[in-house]
Amino acid sequence: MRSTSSSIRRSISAALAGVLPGALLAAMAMLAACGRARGQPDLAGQWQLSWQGRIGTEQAALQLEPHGQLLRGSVGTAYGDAPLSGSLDGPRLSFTVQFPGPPAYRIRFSGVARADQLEGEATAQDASGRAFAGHGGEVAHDYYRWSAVRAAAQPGKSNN
Amino acid sequence: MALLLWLSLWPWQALAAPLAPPPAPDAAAADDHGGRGLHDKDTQSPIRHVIVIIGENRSFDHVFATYEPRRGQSIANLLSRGIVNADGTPGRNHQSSAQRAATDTHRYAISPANAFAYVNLPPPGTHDAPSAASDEKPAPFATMAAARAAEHDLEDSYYPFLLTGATGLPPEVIDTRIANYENLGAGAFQLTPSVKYDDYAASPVHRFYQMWQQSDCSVQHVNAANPSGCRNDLFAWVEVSVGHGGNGKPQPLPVTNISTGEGSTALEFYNMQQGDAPYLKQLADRYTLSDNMHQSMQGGTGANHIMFGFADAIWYSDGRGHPATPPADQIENPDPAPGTDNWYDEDGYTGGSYSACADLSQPGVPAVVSYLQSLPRPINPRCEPRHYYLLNNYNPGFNADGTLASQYSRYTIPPSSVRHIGDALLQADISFSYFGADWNIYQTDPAATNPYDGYCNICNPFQYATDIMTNPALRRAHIHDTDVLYRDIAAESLPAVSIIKPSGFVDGHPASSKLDLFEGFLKNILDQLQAHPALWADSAVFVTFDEGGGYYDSGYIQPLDFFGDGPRIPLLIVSPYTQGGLVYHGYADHVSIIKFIERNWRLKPISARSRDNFPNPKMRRDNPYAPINTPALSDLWDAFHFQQHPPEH
Repeated sequence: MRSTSSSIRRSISAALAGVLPGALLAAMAMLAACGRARGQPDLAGQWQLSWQGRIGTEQAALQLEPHGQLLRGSVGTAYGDAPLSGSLDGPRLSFTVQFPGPPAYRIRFSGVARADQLEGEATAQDASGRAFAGHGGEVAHDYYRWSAVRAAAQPGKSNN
Repeated sequence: MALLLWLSLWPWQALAAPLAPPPAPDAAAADDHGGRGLHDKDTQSPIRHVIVIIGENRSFDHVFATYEPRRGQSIANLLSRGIVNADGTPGRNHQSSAQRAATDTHRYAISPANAFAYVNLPPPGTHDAPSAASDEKPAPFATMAAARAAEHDLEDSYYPFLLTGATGLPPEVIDTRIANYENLGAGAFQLTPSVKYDDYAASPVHRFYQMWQQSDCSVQHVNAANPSGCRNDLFAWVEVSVGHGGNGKPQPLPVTNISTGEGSTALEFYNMQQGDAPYLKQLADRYTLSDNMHQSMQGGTGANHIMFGFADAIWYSDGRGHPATPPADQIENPDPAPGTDNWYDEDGYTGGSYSACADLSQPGVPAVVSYLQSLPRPINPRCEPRHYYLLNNYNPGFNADGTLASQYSRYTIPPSSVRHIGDALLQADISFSYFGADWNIYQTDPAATNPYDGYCNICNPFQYATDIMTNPALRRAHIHDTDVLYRDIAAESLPAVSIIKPSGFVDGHPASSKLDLFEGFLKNILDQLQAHPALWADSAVFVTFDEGGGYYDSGYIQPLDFFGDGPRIPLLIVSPYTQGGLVYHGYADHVSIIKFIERNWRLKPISARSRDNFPNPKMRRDNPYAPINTPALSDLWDAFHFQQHPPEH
């Protein structure tokens, strides 16, 4: 129900906001805040996401679109755009990203929101879970940590 | 409605990502190895195809400990030396494998004083061997579906091994699966059958400065039988004192025999006489086995694949061919941290990995250099001034698409301009390919997030090289996944030189793979090759390992320069011209395979300073293992019987 009522509020608000994109976005953000549970931070918008792979740190543009306790959005890397879906529970969030590969694979990001930073652990959902460690971890990285910070104002800017 | 339409047309995706189009698929690769080389068939022997298959991290004695060749052949291994009996129990000379504990609290030493013999080895640990089969954690897999999705290079009968062998124990505890783990004696011990051949087990430390210490080389131990004075008796102590290094962090307390998680893993061996490594034994019974092949650098995977590809070590640069100084925390410092016994001050896979070995003021350097120069026939360290050489695993300078890899990890060596075997082959118009399993996945997965990605970036020598990686045509022509290998075999269109690397799931590396899985990878290729008699008839397959993985070996080590050699590793030479179950004793390392390629196709050495300039060994009649004209490396030519025409199949 929360999701439905939020959607209605968004439509009404958008209609009232006119056609100026900036005003529209501001109104949507305000309405999304109205739909948030108590203590739930506003995660809507763009983030700069980074996580540890087996042999390095991957960076991507993260777009989060909360709908009440549901989370939608996408992760964009140099190799494609991957949709995400997940959920929010107060400051805790989790979402699964469907990377296109090939072969396709899913990574589940779970963590907490603190001010304008997100952080937590990432776990593969298929095949070998946290992924193959490679040479007993000899090209070593703590590959399951991730974090995100609010992106700079310029939309769509690559961090790679 | 107009508003809703406008909303639906808003370019939301542009907010989310900067997306460049994905790279074009490597469609032309299967048909293009830079074209078949003009001089592919201009060879000095009947061999038109050299195929090099490199597994991971097994010493010669670890695998061939009890192997007995056919009558008339001799071999140097744990059984022949009397270190163990055929049933794996301690032999009459077991003491010669006995390990000692040392003390090193001031300056790094490769043969520390104050050593004393163990009565019993520290109990072996589990380190990072997997606890349980799971599709949510590293291999082994819980389901065949996941295993088959991740691995494509095995025959069907080997896939079940991807599901089995977890330890059932936590990481970094005593491996209680091992029989008598508290009473193993002081030397080599059989891992099986209490730990099954198909089980995962810990991986011993095998980093550069650690391996020099493990080898315990000193002029004080030099004699006619052992002219380098390496005693190979500090493997266990190095494991329990420093292990894989601390990346500059303080030593965890309390310090115990299991605090590095390894214990004395290094002293484990398999027993072919009790059924271990059956396919490798079958190949040795039928073809030619070297009992004097060595890892070419003290240290691990990256350094040894570099020495194979360049016949030299490579160094930190400004990316344009000029030597430069790496960040301070990337410079090795194996001196003991204050207040510790052999806990290196700065060393690790995300710590120190470079040394400027021409500078005797650099930590660690004097110990190795003074040893080399103290030998009866002094050895030139071959270190250029102001060059910081890479001694351990760091990422190569390039991603698959030729962009700089440093954007993903600071533990990345800058692009290298050092000449390599690919340059020599290109110049002579001889075709070659590096076939790295999972290369196709890695192309869109540079940080290795994809759980199916077992590609080994540090294993591909060409991935360090500016001239190959910044040229899209050369990348496409000379680097492929194994699907292209199989197509080439089927079409009998292999390049003249093929270098083949398995995925990490089946490369045989302890903890992350198993030796039986590497046997499966190997058998899959050899079966396909031998199914094409015309191709097989002019092929030579060199099956070897990158290094000994830190496992104990009893063999002679010839010091060649600052970088190595290191302990013996297996080498099987599989060809119609190496049949007969022979054992080859010529002193060899990875560069010997390069020397074979150069002799076969009449190539000059890669550079004026590369190791392929070393002469072939001359041996004393009473010691077939130690060259008297050191430094010397066999080109393996005399391991073949080219006078056989046609060879028997």
